[in-house]
Amino acid sequence: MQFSSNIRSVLLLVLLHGLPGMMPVQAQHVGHPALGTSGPLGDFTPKVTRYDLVITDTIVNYTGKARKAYAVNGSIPMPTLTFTEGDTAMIVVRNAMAKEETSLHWHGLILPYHLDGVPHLTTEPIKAGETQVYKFPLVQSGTYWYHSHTGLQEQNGMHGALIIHKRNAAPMPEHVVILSEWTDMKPKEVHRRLHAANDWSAIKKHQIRPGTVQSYSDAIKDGAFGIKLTNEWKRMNAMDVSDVYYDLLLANGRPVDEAPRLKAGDRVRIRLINGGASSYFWITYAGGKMTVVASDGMDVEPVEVDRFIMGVAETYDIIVTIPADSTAYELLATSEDRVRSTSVWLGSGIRQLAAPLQPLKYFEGMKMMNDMMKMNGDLDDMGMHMSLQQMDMNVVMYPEVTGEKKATLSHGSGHDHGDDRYNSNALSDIVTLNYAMLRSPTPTTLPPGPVKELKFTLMGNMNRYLWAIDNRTVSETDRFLIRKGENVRIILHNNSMMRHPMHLHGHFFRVVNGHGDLAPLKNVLDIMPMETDTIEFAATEEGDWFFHCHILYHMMSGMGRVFTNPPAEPNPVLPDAEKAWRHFLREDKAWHFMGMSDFATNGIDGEAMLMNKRWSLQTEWRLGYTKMHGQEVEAHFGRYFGKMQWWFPNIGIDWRTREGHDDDPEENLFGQRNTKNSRSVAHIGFQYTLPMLLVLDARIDTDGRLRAQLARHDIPLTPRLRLDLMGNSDYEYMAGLRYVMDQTWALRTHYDSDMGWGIGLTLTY
Amino acid sequence: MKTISLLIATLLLLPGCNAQLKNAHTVTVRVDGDCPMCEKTIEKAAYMKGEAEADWDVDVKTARITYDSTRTSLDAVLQRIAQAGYDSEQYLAPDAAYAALPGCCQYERSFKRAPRAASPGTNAHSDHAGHHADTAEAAIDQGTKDPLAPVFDTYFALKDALVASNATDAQARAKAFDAALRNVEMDAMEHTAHLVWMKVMERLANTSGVIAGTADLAKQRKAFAELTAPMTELAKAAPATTPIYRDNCPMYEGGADWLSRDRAIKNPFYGSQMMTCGSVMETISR
Repeated sequence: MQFSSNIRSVLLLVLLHGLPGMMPVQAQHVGHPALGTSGPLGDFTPKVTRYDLVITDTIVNYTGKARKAYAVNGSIPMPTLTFTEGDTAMIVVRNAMAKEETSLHWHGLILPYHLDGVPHLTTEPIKAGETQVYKFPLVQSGTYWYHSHTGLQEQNGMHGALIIHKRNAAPMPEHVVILSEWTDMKPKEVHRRLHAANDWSAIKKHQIRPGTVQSYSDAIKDGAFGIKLTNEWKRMNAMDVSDVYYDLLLANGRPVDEAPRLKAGDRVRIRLINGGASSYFWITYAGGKMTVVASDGMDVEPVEVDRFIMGVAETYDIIVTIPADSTAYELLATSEDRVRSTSVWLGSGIRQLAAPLQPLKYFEGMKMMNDMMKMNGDLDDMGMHMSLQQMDMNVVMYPEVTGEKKATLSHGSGHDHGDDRYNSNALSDIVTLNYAMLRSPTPTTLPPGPVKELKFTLMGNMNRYLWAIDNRTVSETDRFLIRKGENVRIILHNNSMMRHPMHLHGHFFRVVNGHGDLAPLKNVLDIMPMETDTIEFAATEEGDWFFHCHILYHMMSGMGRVFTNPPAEPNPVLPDAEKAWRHFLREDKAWHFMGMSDFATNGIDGEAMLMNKRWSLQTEWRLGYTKMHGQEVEAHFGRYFGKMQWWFPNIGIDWRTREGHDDDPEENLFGQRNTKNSRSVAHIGFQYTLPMLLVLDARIDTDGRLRAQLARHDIPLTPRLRLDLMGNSDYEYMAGLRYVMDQTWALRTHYDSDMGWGIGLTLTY
Repeated sequence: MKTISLLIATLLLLPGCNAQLKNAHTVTVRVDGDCPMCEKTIEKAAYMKGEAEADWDVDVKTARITYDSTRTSLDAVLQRIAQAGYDSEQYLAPDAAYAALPGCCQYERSFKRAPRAASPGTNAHSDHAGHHADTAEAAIDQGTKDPLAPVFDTYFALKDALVASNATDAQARAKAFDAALRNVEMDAMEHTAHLVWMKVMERLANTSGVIAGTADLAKQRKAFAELTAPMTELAKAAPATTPIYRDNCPMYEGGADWLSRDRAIKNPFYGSQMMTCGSVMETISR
């Protein structure tokens, strides 16, 4: 076998520091009574289970378009790895790609931190052509998964199931289902567009589920014009239930998955994994109730439900029955925005459909959001102490819970059940799982020790796609020090408008949910807007552990923290700790470019922006075709301030020239003389986002002249028709109408006080 | 594949004959239904501009479906028809969609197979608890034969019908409960359970008869409250592996109990009027 020099060094390091498989890992887990419940080894002989994984880049075609993706051993998703508790896993990973580096993270597994697979934080990335060996004992059982932790690779195929069976469990039919999404757009492009607040995704969804764009025309149709107006007054863009448009949802890599060998009367364990990058899935079943028996790999007391939602990266084990002969029953997974779904057919024969989830009542949701949103951008839970998914504000949008659209909107607040207004289980006879219903079968109390209590507020800015904890991204904070013997309690509050699946590496945490000693163990916690949840864990594992939002694009924007439990020895695979840490922090510092230019009969005008999470370099131009129309370019550079990033102080330059205007210099609103024929000045000023999303731009230039401007672009009159408005104290004004044809081109007509009337095509990047 | 052979065996493939649809394929599929109103619903569900349309015949209960094979599939059309409440030879409508059809359209569902009768010990509820211990899990699959399982299953179905405030359904569920009471295999019962069974059997049967005999929801609920005490006694005499919760509603008739397998409160005495009124008083488990 040909090993590269790097693999030899990894192996060497592993040997020097003792094989991970020989490390006294068991001793570290005495604090986790729920782990290793199988007791002493008895007559069981542990063995080494080996998998060889070869990662390649490949071309796939899901929708008629050839696209790049990643495959492992030629398979998307990556192959299911199956082990038995107590065995040692040996996974040999070869990166056979030409250029790209990659990584694999073993999600939910308790293992030595340098094998956790977070590139540069815990583990060296697997460079092109290299091989790495991951060898660790399996001290747990349950449903887990593995995925790339490098960039956006997880979105394009690098996710797979990892199942650890109990050692002496009775055989039972089971079916593993890993859910994911597919987009024809490159994930990098998806990410860039999210930062550009471009709503092409919503327009695509609108074609399937009308109303998704939540434009003014949609609002009028639903009798919700006032609601839309209030929403923009409170500086909110259309409410996203999820950000990204997907062309397909997949179960085990296919639009429709099958388990035809199951027969009537069978009780089947379905091991469900949400391997999606950003989608939550609702799970419903056509063959009756589902019994939830485990979450995130850990057993829970069986609880029977009609449906449940799976946060990104969560796993659930359920038991279902196949009721009748010659019938296949649909296990339906629907994205939270209800735009798409994927199915697994359990059994064979005539196909019994599950009832589809009806379209969301977006304006009911918007109305709810308006009630909760304070003018300063904070959310107000109106004293409801929301937690553990029990009060789901989104129920106002679910027709199956709160009735059909017209009925509720016309009756004002509709159902007024006091404290139960958002309690889905109180409002209908559908049983929906929530975290308060999960209970561990065995005590999960932490070992005695000092408690370190942390309070994290999750926040987000939809318009600039900034996601942070306490208004700091990963790269804007240092590591959180935790020490062995300590218990860490985190009180999480979600002050953003989206739900976040928060994942902790290398540990299980207790979800404090009123069941006392029997609080369930999880490694992903879905926290809804306005909720406050408490999780706690014993700091038993040494090393660096990432705690982050598992929505891939939120993580890449910096929503996370790193916990460091000082290891006895330096990291064997990352010798230069400082350099590696700096490299790790690069992730959320990325700069994004976006631009738009209109090529019209009266000139070319446009703007471009290069920005990261706090800073932005912007430039605008208006280029006439004649000397009389002249040419104007301005640029400014500044930083966004405040957690809502409404403030943008900046400095810049303004240059313009034109000929043939005898009335120059003119007088501006402030009575100052102002030339447009030949200007070359620098300026200092600020932008501030006002209610109705109007941007006020005030500045003073090096000649002492003041200018104040109000502008709003992209007002959604209809899903595709957008209005642009601008006016300033130099008596310049502009009004334009844009019809969005596709993600790149729009038809535009506008009137500009300097350039006159024009019609043209707008290019958006 | 099975679906394909089914298709070939039963469908007529004809060349396109519809001027509006390109690449048109026409097939004839059996679709259940009853009346001219069904015809309207089926055809509306199948129609998609430029993609597909259907012509359903009430006499022979078949639909001639024409579709553009480059833009859609027969599966997609049949799924839409099923989502509107109508079974075909390939897709069964969701029960909720069928139930939502107007009374005159509630055709006999000839394609739907009856659920396999829950044989003792293999019912969906009684045996998947106790995953906490491997030994318990092993015991589960040996199938603990619980002769009372059908009694509890039908009781909970009756409770669910009352939660849903559906008097007709409650009547049917009460009949099923009654049948389950009569078919209990007494030989398979343990001695203590048997003694309790002899004691409560008559009272249970009488009360279920009252519920089955009336379509008045208020009367049904009042009778249902009578079932709780004997059922609780029975549950305690032969506890199942899945916990059963005794819930109490302080409002109903000065306070009344019911049994449930859900930890969440779903009030059968008031339904949606006061769905979560009540609290768990006791957990009965093995």
